[in-house]
Amino acid sequence: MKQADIQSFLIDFFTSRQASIVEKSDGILTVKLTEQLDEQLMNRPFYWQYVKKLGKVGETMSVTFITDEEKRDQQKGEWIHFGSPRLDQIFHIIQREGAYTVLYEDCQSNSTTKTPLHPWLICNIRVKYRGFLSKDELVSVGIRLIDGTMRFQMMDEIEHKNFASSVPNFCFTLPTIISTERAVERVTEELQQRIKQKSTHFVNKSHRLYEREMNMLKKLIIDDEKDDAEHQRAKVQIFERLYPQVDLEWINLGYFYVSEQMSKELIS
Amino acid sequence: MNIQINQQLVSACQEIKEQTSCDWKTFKQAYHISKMKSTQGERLASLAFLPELQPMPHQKEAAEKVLHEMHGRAILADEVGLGKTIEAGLILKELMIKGLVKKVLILAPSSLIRQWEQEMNQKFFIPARAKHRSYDWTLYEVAVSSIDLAKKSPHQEEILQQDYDMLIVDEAHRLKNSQTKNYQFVKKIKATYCLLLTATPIQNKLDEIYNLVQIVRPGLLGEKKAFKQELKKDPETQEAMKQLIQTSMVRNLRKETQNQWTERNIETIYAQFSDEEQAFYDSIDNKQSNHALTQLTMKRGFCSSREACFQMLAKNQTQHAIDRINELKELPQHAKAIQMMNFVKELGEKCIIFTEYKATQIYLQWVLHQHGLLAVTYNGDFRKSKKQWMLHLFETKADVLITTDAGAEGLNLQHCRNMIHYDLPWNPMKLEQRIGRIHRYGQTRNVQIFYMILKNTVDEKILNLLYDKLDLFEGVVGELDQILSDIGVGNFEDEMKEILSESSSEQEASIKLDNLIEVAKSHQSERKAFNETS
Repeated sequence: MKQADIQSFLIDFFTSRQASIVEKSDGILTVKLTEQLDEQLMNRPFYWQYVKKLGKVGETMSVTFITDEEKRDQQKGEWIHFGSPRLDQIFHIIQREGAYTVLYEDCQSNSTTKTPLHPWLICNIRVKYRGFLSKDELVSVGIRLIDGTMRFQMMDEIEHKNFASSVPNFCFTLPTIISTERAVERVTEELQQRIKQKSTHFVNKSHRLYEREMNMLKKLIIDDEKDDAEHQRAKVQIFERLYPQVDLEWINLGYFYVSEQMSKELIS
Repeated sequence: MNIQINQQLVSACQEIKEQTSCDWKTFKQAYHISKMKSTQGERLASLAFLPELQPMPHQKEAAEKVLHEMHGRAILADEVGLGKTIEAGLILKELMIKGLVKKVLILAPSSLIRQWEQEMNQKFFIPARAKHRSYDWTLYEVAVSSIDLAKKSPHQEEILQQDYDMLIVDEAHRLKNSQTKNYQFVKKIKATYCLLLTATPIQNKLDEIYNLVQIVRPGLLGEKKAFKQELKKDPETQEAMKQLIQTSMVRNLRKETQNQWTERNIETIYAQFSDEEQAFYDSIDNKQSNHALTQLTMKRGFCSSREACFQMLAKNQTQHAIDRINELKELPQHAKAIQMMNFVKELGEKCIIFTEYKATQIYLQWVLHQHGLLAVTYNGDFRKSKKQWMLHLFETKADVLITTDAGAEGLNLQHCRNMIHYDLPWNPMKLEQRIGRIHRYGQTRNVQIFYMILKNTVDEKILNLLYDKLDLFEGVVGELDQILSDIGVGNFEDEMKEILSESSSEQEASIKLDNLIEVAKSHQSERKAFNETS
């Protein structure tokens, strides 16, 4: 997303959350917020608390967002750009809301025979490496909940497909055979296997530096018993910093029910 | 070899499933935003969020190194003017984007608080606020304060109760002594990430770096006693220790950074005492009652202004001092001051004047004012608000800023490109600090540096002996103090004074100085490894 794309992104964000667009021109956008968005974005909890106590309907705010830098001085409003706290707030809302989903492939079948949909679980996971250096990596794994077949780079594959939030007409979902817990376990195991395989250099280098600092520490401790707590702390510190570790965290997960054809495509 | 994998994906999955299901677009967007916020390979994610910021290569590298290899705890020790604040801002922004840092404490000298507030807000969109006395510390997400305020009761107690995600200390060489209250206070502050900023991580002794490392990486260097012993051992051990220190320190030197700095032109401007002044100056030597070092100090004072000299004399209540003061009163306007005033007029551009004496500061302001030039003064004694007002005046109205070394620490004055050294400092490192105020990140024009020198005086001696010789060092000047401390020569400033005051002739002083430089040079290569960043 570039600066020029921010306006359409905002329009999309607000309209899909039922806020109304009051005014729209090149680089300038005025939105009348909904109560929910007002509470999420405008940071005035006392007002809402007060209104609700009195049993009244609150008046939501209208906000003008300026996305064209040249218009910053011409009009009153918020200059919104990458790095602005407001955009970050909006990103957070999306990340929170987008943590979980259940979706169905939008297959426009008009045949009278019912189409079965195959269940998949999509796991989007952040892999954080810690050791001689720290870095993160995003992995997207899909697992078919019928036989446990896995596919990596799942999001890239389905990026341009259409999915609906309810079961389309003339479709029905096949029951899952593998439980969610078991599926997540299998994904995790596979992921761990892959991490171990590809990170030998990372692991070796981290270990080497870890050992070196530990040895150096031993040399530096003259009287080992004098302040044991301090030395333990130093050891823990070195371990935390250099011992090769990986943290796995959820970005989001979702159940995706797809046609047999797509299911086959995903596996091939 | 093993790798430890930490995960609770199964149990966390149960929690996520309790949420309402979102639509396809939101799911995709959430994934893309996470992707945007994570490191793409080794690159910084924050740069995508800061389209207007164009950090220099060494700044990016420093930030990457601190984030990826030092885990956000490091000493940022670039030479002056290379943009340590930019590096700190990048690191902070990166950690904030990743959601790892929310609560931040920035400790800076009071004169720099506003500068920090502005830079963080304008360049990084980080909502930093200067701590106001009537608001509670808990209310600040990103607080900027001076150590002096923070360590007072009840602030200290409140701060120590907070769990900060990030602590930044600017001008951290002030923490070099582990016995001071400042040091002990900072060491007690709880913070996951920690950055110490200083251009001079070591001023005199290696212990100083030990103490700074103790804050960012407690225990890394072991016990102090053992550390010192190790340093005395063979070169190999020393090398290992240096490498160890480098694992928590980033230091870029000006000459190593690849970008095109604007040029720096240096010119000397000579002035000549009037006969009366020269007679007074010469007579300082002849008064036998004075110790050689006192005489030297007095001469330096007189080369600056009658007022500076007067203040030195006024401390003594002897008949001799009173006589001298009366003689001073009879003298005309100071030749160097007049020469400088004329020069500033001719220059016709804004300039910064450095002097070592507060008395001279006021005198120069008066002289400039008499000739229609608006000058503002600036020194360490001013209150915060006055300092800011003076800087504002200098930027908007005044022609000249007259400042002392202590006052100007850490200031960004790159809107000005001319600097006059009215008095030359003993310590060439100070000179580098001064020039760094204008010849720094953000300076777009060539910088002009002028030395004001009185002929046939100690001014000229210092210039010839010290500065001309040191040019041979080609930029090592900044490290000279460190080199000397390594080989057991105490403080460079004291060493210089001793050589100048105890040598009977200029040749003698020159030879002694040559020796000193020779010794220092031979240790230079060893020293170098220490300053390299990798």
